[in-house]
Amino acid sequence: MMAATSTMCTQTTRRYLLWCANEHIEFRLPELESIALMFNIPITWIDKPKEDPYVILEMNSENDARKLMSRSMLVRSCFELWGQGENEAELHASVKSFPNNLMKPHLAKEKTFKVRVESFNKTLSISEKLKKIESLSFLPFEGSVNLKKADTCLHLIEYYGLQPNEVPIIPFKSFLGRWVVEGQRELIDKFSLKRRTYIGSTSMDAQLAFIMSNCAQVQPGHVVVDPFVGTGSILVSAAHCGAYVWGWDIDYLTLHARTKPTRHSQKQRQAGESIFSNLKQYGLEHQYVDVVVMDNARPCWRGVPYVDAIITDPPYGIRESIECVGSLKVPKDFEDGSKQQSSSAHHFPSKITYSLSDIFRDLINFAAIHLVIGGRLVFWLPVFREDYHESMIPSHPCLELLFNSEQVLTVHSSRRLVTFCKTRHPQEGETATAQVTDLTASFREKFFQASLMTKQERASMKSRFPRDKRGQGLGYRLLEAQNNAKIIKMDDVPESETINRDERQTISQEPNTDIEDLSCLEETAETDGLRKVQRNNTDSEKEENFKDAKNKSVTP
Amino acid sequence: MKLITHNMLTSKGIKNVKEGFPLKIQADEVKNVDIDFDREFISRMIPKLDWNALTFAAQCVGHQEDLPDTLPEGYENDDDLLKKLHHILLEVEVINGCLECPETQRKFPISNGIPNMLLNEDEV
Repeated sequence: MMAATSTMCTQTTRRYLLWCANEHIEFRLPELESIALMFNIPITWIDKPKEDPYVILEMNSENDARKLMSRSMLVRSCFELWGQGENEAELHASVKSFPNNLMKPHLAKEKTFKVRVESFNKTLSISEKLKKIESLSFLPFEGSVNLKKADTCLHLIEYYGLQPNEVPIIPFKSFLGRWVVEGQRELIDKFSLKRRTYIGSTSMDAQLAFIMSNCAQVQPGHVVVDPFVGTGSILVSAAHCGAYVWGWDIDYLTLHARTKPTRHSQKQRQAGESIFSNLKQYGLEHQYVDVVVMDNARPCWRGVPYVDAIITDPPYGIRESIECVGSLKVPKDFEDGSKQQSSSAHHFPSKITYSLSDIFRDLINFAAIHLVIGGRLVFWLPVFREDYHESMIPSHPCLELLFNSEQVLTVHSSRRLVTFCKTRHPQEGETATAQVTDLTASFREKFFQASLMTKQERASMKSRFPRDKRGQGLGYRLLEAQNNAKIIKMDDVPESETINRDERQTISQEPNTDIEDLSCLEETAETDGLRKVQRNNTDSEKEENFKDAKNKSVTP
Repeated sequence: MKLITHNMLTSKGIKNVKEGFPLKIQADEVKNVDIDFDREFISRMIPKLDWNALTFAAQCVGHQEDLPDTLPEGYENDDDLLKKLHHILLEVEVINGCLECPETQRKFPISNGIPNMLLNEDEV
């Protein structure tokens, strides 16, 4: 899209193999494309990111490759690709066709070298590895071997698939590459929340926070804001990328670090805990500007475009409540005491539910006004997987949707990392034109409805929405799975719950019935006559119960 | 609260308030912090600032530092001015005090350096 269309491996472009981490598969493309565009690096995909951890692309120089890797969180290592093949002969032929003038300098007399054999999804013994190294003896090695600190590190990489129980004898693919540079995976440990000074119940995982900053193309000197700042975990990653950071949140106690500690071992908040101290912990205190207690339903910012990137994780109403200032009381209640109340410094305003669709509508309208042109908005959108359709992603005429990738949270719900780019300033009357579907608002409700699912329903959902063993979504497989699997309407869920309730009622009404037998019936298939009869009898009741359940789940 | 933040804050969320800008600063405790000078960042921020609000804020916290009445041309090359602005925008911090709406005189408290811009339920 952004790169030259030539797919030939010419003198000017070189092929690079990126060995990616075997997680967050859907985020690889958005991350790499964002970084490449940010640094103005032309890239051409040869082998786009997919299920396996290997990505091949063409870049103009090793310098570009280094720049790309200087930010990538999802790439483990980058290699100059010397050859690849599905069997040894193919690999060797491919390596032999690699331009000699590119290979020779690295294997020259004055260079020390080493060869490493790395396998994915299989452990090779030392003798097997040695055999494989010896098979590469046709290469024009002239220098001497240095296993500790070699100038040239060649890696023979073998891919044995993703199934740990079905490991083939011969690898599916083999690559030979010269190691160039590592990605930024070490930051995951360095910035781990385990050692973060101040965290809360929904602090953003370090890796994801960095991926968000990459999607937002955060660069030194940028202004980055987080309107739902919480404990500031996203600001940490943005500040690490050189941005000056602002954050705001409606929760006074969170910003002043007076909430209950969420660490298992911690009883009380320490004196030094704050968003500022989180930045200071990594020597980023110079990047900290301010945090403000503010209601996103009524932001107090002057309407000028001064923000380079908005990166945020709004509350979903599951672990963090969704609130804005307001009152359900009739306003006249306040008439007398209003003056007094306003001037009190210690008054905590009453809050009402801030519906999820309003949260996103306000966020997007805010972005349309305050982002600079070309600035990015990156946020998480919680979705109920059953309902999800691309049309659920909010829109605004001034914002262009760039990426949208899924992270699976539970069997039934996930969140999508959405990246927007501002293309122009809004005209008069266009400032509040964000489109958000009502489905967004019903996420919370559905989430809690789904927690009432029976075992079988859960299992059938699992098969419909596959995840790998780490719980990652497999978006590229999703379509196929959806077509093949049986479709279950979520509306059935509370229904079956009420049936169970009805059955329990029958138990208490008919003391003669064997309880154990009935519980078995519950577990067995739908063909059970008793169950069917009860269903028919209680249809109207069910509907009522369902409504009740709905109402209950809305009120916090 | 740093003065760069003050330059962006308004009280327009209050019912019937039109501009709500600039907010008057009542500073009970002010702290000076050391921040690395970042020429590029300051130059990038200057066009986005409201100059009158900045001089007003500097006056409020007693850091007038002989700022010119208007933003002079060619400020990008005036290192002295950039450093002065760097100091006023990023290094002066109001720790305790309040911000006052110019139209309604409603006060927003600042405590531990964090302004509380929340409105009460009867003001929205």
